[in-house]
Amino acid sequence: MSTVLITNDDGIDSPGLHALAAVAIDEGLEVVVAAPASEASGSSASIIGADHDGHVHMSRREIAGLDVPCYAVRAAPALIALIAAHGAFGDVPDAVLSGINRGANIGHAVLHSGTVGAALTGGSSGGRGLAVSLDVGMHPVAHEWDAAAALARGILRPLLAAVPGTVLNLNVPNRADAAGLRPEPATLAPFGIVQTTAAEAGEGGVRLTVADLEGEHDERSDASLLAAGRATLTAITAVGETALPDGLSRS
Amino acid sequence: MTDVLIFAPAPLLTVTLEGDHPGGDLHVHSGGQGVWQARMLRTLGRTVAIVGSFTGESGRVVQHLLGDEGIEVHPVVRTGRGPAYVHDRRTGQRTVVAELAGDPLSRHDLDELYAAVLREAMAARIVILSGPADEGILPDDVYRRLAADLRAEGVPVVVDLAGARLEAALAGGVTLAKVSDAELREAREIRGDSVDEVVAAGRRLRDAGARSVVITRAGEPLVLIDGEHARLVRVPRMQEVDPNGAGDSLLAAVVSALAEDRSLLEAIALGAAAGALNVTRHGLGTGDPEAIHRLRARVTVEEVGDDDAQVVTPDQLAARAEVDDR
Repeated sequence: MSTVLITNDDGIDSPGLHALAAVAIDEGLEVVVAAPASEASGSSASIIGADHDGHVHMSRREIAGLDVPCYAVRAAPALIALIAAHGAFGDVPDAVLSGINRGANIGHAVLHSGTVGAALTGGSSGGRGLAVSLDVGMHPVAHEWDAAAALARGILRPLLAAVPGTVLNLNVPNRADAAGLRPEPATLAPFGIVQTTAAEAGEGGVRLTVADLEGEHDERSDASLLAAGRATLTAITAVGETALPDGLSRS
Repeated sequence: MTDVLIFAPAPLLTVTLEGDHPGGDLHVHSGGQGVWQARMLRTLGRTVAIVGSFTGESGRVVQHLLGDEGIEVHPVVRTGRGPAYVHDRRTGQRTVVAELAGDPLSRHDLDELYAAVLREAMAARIVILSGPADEGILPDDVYRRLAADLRAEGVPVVVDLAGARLEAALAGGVTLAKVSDAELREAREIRGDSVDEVVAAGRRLRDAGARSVVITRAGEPLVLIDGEHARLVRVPRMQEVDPNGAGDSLLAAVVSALAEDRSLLEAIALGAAAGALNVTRHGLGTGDPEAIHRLRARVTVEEVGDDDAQVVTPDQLAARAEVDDR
């Protein structure tokens, strides 16, 4: 039976997190939920988290409708994924499912995304990762978490069957009928959209969305497809190596 | 250990004539804010105790009715006239036949009630201070002293009060205060119904002495002030059958969740779901725990943003960079 870790950067109380956990449970996977005790938007793959005593603190939580172990962790999502990969929550997860984020995570800006950071960490630790985000826009009337979760459910088995290291970034339009959409392969927009936290004041800050969709001309980019009401899917890579520039490349 | 102790100074006897059967039907219940909260908490599976006064013939009946509902009663029993109402709803509309405020509480009664609350609170996870319908039943200052003493005992205190009673409770200090936007408007704390105004009023209440404040707004997302955070809690709008009692359902669901050690946010989300569901049925303080949990999944909580755009470009973000003066 495959084990998955459900995490996010909106925090343990996020309905998006609960919706994603619910479909993973329904899909028959072994589920552990471990998410930040407070919002950690914009934390990228930061592993900020240990308290003054050097320990990562967490508390058990009961979440209605989720009959699985749930932990509120005082750490950024990527740290949660990292310690999960080293047995902090029991079996090492076969995949990290990160989300459902309140706000799109598209384009190269996902470098800064806590949601995506956790998924990438899952992929770097011998597992796989899936980041799921709901494109809520500026003033959403409703949040279609369940529809987005149902769409994500269809990706779980293919993800688990993929080679270790596979990390997928899924963005879903905020539509009640999103479950019926087919995620389309997408390239990364030049910048895109990412969420961050402004003014860390005591217990956490105010959420800020950083977006730049100017200069977006590629119809196959996640930004273009999402703006056209499609769900987008991109296989992303984390830190890797490439050729050194000329002049530095002689060994 | 009881889950919830409710200070219900003067539970009512309610007598209602209904027209469901030919010839009419008589319903006799215990009522009053504290009782409705207790009933809802029982529906949600919590153990509940009430400290209250029970006066005269009607008081005896009320005490028995509460016991039958599985509510533990710590009574201050006295002679005299108890509060009650008699309503006639046989035509479908409610006609008031009689509404009796009952005798005010004497110093001695108050002292006994006070001692009972402090004593029973030691064996409870959380306390609700509720108010009797009539203004003249007990002095507002009782709420200030009770809130302060309960906090000193380390027991969380939740209130759903208005006006001078709320002010008094805040002066003593409470863990959570629930108010409605209608009450705020009546107290001239707000004029319109914008989120900003409600948030500002909520912050003032917090500063006056509540760790957290929840403000219900009919048909609109409710506002939660939790320390520094201001949040909007949205729940799908249900077809309204009867809006009465939605606030009580909300409060009971919140308290129930807090008594089960859930986080404040989770408790408020459950409360919002319970309040929304309550409008779909008659019967003050009724609820369906399963339905509440299902609806909770569709409750969303979001930070209330600043007036400034919540979306910025990287250029704008860079333009906001500033060097602080030492």
